[in-house]
Amino acid sequence: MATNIIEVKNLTKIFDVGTNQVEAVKGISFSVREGEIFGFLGPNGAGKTTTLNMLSTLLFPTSGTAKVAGYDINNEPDMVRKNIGMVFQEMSLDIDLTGKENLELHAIMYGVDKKTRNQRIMEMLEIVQLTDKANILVKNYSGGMKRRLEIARGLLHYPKCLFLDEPTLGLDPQTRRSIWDHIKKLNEEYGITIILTTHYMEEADALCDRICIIDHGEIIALDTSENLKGHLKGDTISLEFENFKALKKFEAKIKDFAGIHAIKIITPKTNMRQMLSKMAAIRAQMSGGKKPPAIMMDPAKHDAMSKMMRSLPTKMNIIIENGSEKVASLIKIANDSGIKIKSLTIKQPSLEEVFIHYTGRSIRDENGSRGATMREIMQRRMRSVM
Amino acid sequence: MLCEKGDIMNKIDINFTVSFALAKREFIKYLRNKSRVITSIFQSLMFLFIFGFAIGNQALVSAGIIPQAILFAGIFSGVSIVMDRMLGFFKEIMVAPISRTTITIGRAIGGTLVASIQGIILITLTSIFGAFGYEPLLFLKILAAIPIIFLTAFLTTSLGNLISTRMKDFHQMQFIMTFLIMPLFFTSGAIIDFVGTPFFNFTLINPMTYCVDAMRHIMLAGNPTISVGLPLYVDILAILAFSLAFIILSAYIFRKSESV
Repeated sequence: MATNIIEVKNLTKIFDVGTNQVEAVKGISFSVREGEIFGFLGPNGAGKTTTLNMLSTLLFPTSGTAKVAGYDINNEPDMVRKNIGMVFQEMSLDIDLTGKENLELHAIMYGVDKKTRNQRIMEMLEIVQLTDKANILVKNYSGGMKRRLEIARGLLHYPKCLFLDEPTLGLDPQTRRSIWDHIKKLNEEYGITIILTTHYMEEADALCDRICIIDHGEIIALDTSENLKGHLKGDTISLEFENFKALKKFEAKIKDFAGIHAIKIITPKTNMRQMLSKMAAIRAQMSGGKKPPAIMMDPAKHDAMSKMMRSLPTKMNIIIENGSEKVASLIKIANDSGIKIKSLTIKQPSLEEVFIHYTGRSIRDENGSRGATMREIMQRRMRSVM
Repeated sequence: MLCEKGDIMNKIDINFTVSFALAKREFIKYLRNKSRVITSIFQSLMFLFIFGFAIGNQALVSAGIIPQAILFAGIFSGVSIVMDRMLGFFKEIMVAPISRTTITIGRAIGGTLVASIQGIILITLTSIFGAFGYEPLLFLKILAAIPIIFLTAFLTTSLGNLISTRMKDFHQMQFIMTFLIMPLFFTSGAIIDFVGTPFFNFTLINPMTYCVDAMRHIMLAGNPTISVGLPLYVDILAILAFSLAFIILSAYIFRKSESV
């Protein structure tokens, strides 16, 4: 059994934002095995980068601890830094220096011997195929070249593990694929443990041995891609009905249908409880302050009421084995009982579904701070213009 | 126990090889940035012609202008760490297994070199234009002024470093110009001579006063218009004391702060 290169225990980070306290990472624990590609998957602001920054000793944890390559991040930060390579989410090269000069400076900072320095630099440039670009200023590199140079730099001091924060963010599909190939090669041929963060499902799927789904600073699931998808046990059929009544009727009809693993009714954005209290208010108003009638009135007669009815759920997801074969019989059931189906789609399970399954929603985007936005704009400019 | 010891070692551990590598980087960047070189030379010449030749007592003002040009260059070098922070390179330095003191010293050396070069260019140009008169000893005076130039450059770079520890982006540069650099410039006695006035005692809190005073000691030696307020050794000691205070304070703040 492989040993653990990273062991995290109850790691917590609380940021003070003005007078508020934001708990970015909420006491997470996990371990990474030596030689695996371990991925953090989650939306922006989930706490992935904060976790990585704590593991690389750039941020002090509020509480909890972790061991990286056998060293404690709180007590031996220097030893941790010596044994890890880090590729940041944002570009961190000096664009006024050449590729080789960037690597040289890095080698000196990490105490690489003067004799082996040059040979090491050439070796790394070879791995990322930048040998012929070594003496060009980094400002003249393309986005993908910069990323590759950063990976080469991260490997220069032979780290035990390499941290990659969003390695392919903002890169075009071809470049992304080539970076993926490089990462796989490093892992397979050189046996380097790789810990990466991403919010691209397909990236986590294509690269990672194990995926850790993280959201709101908590670990929601941690397993191989196969096993995570296995929890979904089949295809997803999404159905949309005319109204809530039809949906309910259909749900009752297919209750005993073979092969169904789960039926999920997709609630529209309005909060259910809010809706019910509103409904009660409307009913009280209609009955003129008297005790509301026990039986619901015909909703079509009342505008407000029919509006309420329209906001009731009309969509459902059915998770079913061999969905494409069974969809015909499902439609037949609906036709036989006179239920109209407005739309129907069948999806193979993807990590996207996995994410929705575990978090109850799709991956979202969030606004960054002003400084971060500014940096992002500058970075983008650096990447595209130069 | 072992961990604690390692922690203390880390705090005082200075790796000069790395410091010099960081300084070299700063220097290469300065040389590659042609506009920065040209701007600094032009700015110095502008000071010289406007203040030196327009206001009387050319020699006195010229000797004062040299430290001021170094002040601008030094602060800018110190503050350039903010640029690194904005462009991302800062993180690469911060994640490296080197002490923060090593980083601070590397930046101080690099900045001092860059600011000194500007000082040397300016003192050469002013001498060529005859601001200090032409005399056989002029060349020796310039050589003697070079250590003062280095000290001034070290002082101003350290001050720039100190400012940069609390600066997140360049929006605050205007604030620093107005509330720090300009007051330092005007109260140093470079343009208006305060020696002999009661105001002079007040200007002693401005570290630039000592730089101007020291420069005058050397460049105006033997000149009848010389106007100095303090002995040369006091000037030099004061410059060193201010520099060390700034650099220790910035290393301290830097060490206590988180990296991202």
